[in-house]
Amino acid sequence: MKLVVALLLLCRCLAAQGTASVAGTVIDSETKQPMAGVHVAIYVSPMGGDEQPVYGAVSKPDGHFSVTGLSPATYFVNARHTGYVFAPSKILSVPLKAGDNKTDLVVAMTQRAVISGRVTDEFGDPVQEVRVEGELVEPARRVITIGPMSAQTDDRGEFRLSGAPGKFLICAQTWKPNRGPSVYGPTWYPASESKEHATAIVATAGREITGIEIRLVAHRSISLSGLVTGLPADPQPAFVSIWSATSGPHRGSAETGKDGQFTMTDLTEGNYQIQAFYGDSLRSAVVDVQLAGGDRSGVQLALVPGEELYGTVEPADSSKLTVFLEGPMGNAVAAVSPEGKFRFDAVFPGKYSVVIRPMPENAYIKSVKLDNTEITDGDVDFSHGAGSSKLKIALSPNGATVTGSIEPADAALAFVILERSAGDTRSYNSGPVLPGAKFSLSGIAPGKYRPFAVDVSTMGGGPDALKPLFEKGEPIEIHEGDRVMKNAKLLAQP
Amino acid sequence: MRSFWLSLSFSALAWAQAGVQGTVVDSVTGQPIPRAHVSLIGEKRYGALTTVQGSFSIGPLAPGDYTASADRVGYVEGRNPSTFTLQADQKKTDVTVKLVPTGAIIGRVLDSEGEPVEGAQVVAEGGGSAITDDKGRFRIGGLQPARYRVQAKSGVVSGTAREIRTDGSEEVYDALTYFPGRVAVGPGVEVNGIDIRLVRAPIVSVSGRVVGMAPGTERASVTARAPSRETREVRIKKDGTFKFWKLDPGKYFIFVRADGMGSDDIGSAAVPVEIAGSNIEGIELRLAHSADLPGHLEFDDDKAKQSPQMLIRLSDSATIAAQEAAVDANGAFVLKNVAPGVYHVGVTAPGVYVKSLRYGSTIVDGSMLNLSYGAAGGDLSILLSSAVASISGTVKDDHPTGRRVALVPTDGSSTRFGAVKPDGSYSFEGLAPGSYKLVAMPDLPPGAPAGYEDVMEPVEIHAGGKITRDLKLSVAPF
Repeated sequence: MKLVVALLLLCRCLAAQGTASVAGTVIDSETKQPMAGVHVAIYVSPMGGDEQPVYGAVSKPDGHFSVTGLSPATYFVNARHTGYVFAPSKILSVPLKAGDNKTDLVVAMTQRAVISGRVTDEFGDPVQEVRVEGELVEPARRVITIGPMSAQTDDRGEFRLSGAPGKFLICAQTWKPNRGPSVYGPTWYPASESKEHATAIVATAGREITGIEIRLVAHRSISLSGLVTGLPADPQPAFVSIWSATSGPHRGSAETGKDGQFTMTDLTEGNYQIQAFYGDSLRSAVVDVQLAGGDRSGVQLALVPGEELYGTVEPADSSKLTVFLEGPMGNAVAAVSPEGKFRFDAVFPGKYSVVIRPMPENAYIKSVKLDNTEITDGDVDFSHGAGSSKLKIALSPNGATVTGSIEPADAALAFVILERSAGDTRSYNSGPVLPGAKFSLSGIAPGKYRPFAVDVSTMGGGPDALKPLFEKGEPIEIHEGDRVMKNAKLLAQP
Repeated sequence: MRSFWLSLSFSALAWAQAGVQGTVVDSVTGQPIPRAHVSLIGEKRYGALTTVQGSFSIGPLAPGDYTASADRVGYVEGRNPSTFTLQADQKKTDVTVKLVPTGAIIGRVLDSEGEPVEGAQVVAEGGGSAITDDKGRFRIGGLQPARYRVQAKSGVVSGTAREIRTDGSEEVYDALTYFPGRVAVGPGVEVNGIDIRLVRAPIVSVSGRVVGMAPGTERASVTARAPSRETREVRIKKDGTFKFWKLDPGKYFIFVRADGMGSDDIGSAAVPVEIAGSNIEGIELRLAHSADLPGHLEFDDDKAKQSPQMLIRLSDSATIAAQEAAVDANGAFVLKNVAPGVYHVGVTAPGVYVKSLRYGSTIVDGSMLNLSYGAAGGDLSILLSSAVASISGTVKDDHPTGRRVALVPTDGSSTRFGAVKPDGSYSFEGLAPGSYKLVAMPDLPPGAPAGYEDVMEPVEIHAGGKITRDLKLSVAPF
């Protein structure tokens, strides 16, 4: 009886202080033996937590660590020790209420796995400054805080990948133009351009796999030349940019002479898109170019001026808004005056979506009109120029709010996504999960939605990776100004 | 594609017009270098790979001036180019390109308790960098011959607040640490044993307040900048305060950077702080908008009046903000979007210097313009004088080529570099009077003149003065 009273008093005492404590053991994930001298960090926000307290502890010879006096919050755990990585399959988080005394936290450390080797060219000579990366095959997913297995080759062509164990496909990719006769594409170990023919390497904890030699696949270098027309009198050089039509990365650029002639080298066979720029004022259309069979000349790019575009945002708002026209060739930006007016200096032909940042509290874009014609499919079409058009953007301050919890509540780093038109990854609302597995999204336009949550700590890929999930949320209909309570299911990526 | 390039070389054997043959050799061993890539630049660019015997041939070529250079992994890029003129039908066969082999620095990084540090970043300043492995080992390869300052920094994420600990342990913070002196790396030499023991530093914070915040400027951040160190930024909190944690000991400039959001640029002048063993509090950064600064030139003498077209240059060495404007025929200019700062005002014309400035009612002797509170209207009048000074002399040493002299102004304006002629002479013309530092260096060392402060000679220059100063090479060349 006395003990119970004492315990009650103790609890009350802790609750009164409003703090919590956490303790546990650090172990080696393979041997399960306790580990000493491991630095355990316990912090509130994994992103930009410079205003939040950070707690720390060092594990004792029996692996035990403890921190007391924590303010109530959901905490994340990280741990460091030379030769080890902290690579849990899921982010380790600890929700702590005032008075909580968690004593059984297990922090499992894994000995580093190392893959080392050399990258050579077609003659067997070392190649330096090649980016070598291990793409994880097994386990299928890993916590995003563990960096990728990646490194750059040194002057001897050598690389050393170090990280959590797993099964990897190794890819070597040059990023500096080669000065010799060859261009090297991304090459998978041992010497293949296709990932399907790559040989996987199993890196185990505490071991170093040496002698991984990657021979870069060489291609004959192709050049492309042509003419940029429409340069102003007494021109500066124009700028020509080329990128792969299929995979997207930027592949190269060149300046024209004053006569508009340009030459690009170090290209390989494939499909490309090419565009010319002259300062901020002139641009060409994007031209498709197929390179095959040898050097290519005579590509023509005609510069056209961007056109001014005026518009208004209603109702006028005293806070500073910016209108963005987001197009496939980048964004145009215009500041909105206190009277609600804006002007784009140069809008180039193309289709654009209209975005306002920052959005006024709980507002949404109610309608977009181009010369008094309402835009219904989301994109403003300036394919034939923006000349003397007027863009009217109407905001409603009356967005809906959706609040709820995520189910199950154990993902600490989830995002809740409200999907609007099916498959369109550009038009969704999203936000972080708040303490207690709650979420609250505001400024939502009327329409049909499917709320769901994903655990970003195990998320892979870009916005496209979410597409398969868009159909899985439970549909709800939202009207202007609604205050909706709706829980969001935590969905796993396929 | 291999055969394509070989056929290009073979066809060169049959040239009827002008052409070039030569060899690429190792500058240390004199041995030929196979599979080096040779660039020949004239009106057009030509390329070739050397054979197993290190030889190359390129042709047919149009007559004209050419520069041949070569590169190969393991050798310094673009060194020792060979320049020549080809006449019509000339077959030049004696071109030799010497490649200088690169060296390496090898060592270990230990923490302040002597334990190896994994993931530490080691930098040979101006040369390259490497990350230590789980035994604390590193190797920085591909270094051109030079004397390097080598720094190491633990890889733990910097900038987090001091940890709260209740288990009796103490958070240890190891600061960026330099290897003593410089590490001399000769051509093709691997220097071993460069072990760096990190120095423990007290965990301190640097905090203050940003004043003059207007609505809409919440996105601004505060920057802490120090030479040879990572520049750090923290967000301004809603109440206008800011706090940096774990800045290494040393001198810093703290400022709000104009954030490049178009016409709404805001910023502050830099406040210098020196971080030693304790917290620094109460720094006040005053925000102001960037603004256009119009002005005009005035002339101290008739000779200055005759100077040609020029640009006006503003540079703030603390925030590294810089601004340029052209002067029109009437001597007027407008410097656009000038952020708050303390600027050196320079002109690009030879033969004149900025003698004094008048801004509003303030008259300044010399060229430092204090715009700490921003450029708020008013006209900047720049008085130019033709009473420029010069300094010349001889560099005494046994190495006849590849030396440079650096002239470092103490007012924070840009350093000037001059080549030393084969007879050992050097000279700088068109100097503004003031305090300078001089140093003679082998070639142009990486990062120069940073790291040579200890061997610089001070020199005071008066208006119109002609100074002679002989120098000794500060460190041995390679």
